[in-house]
Amino acid sequence: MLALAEKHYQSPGLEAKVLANSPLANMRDTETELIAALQLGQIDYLAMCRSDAPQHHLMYLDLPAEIDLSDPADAAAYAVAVAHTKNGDVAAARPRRRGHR
Amino acid sequence: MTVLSLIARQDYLEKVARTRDPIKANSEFVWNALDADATRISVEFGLNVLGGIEEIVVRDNGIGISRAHAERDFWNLAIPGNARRIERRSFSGRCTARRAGVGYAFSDLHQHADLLAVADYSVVPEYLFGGDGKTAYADWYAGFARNAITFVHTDKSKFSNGTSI
Repeated sequence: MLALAEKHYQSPGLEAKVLANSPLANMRDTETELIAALQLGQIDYLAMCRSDAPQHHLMYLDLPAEIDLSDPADAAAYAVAVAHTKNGDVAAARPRRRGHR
Repeated sequence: MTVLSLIARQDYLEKVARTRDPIKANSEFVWNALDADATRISVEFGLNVLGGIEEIVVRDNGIGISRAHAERDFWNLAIPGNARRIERRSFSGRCTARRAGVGYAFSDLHQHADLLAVADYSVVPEYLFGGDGKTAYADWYAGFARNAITFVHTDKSKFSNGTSI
């Protein structure tokens, strides 16, 4: 998502800058704990599915389709963004569709 | 009190036994008890003749769960995480498949399904289409709802200016 934003806004280094501002200390075991941290002001922004925002009474950014993984037709464009996990797995971005993984 | 017999599958035991932090694993049970409004929680360590820990019993007086919920929730203990390892047929012989969550309702309840809605479209071609010697359980799927990823925030978040809610 950040890689897609960097490309869409033509802002080199955007992904690295955001990640640099997301220290490991911000990591939580579950989304529930992340939402609590957000509501307590421990963190300012949290990436998650838009459909979950209203049920937690959270505000959200309206991102363009080039970034928000909402359009199945853009699947190939999304797939250029990959996430590397600590255990070496590489996950490519995919459209958020019922159901998403 | 109702007693339920639950048999954990080997791969589940292997998965939970991999934890590197037994204290944290035990604390999870205590947290679960607190989540269930328990006011008394005991953790008993049973020792074997050599003084090693042989069993750990966590008891609490939390609200508990209904038999139906227990059967539903604890089925997970018995569901292998990998559909490739399992092939099942319902009582009447129709193919059913299961993975943690996928097809679980109709396979475990031995009911037929003409239509299955899943929360992850990728599992349908990956696990249910067959191929590579696997049994085919489905031959078609369609997306029917979309979602989007976004950044959520509160009105107290830095740089928040009351963007859409």
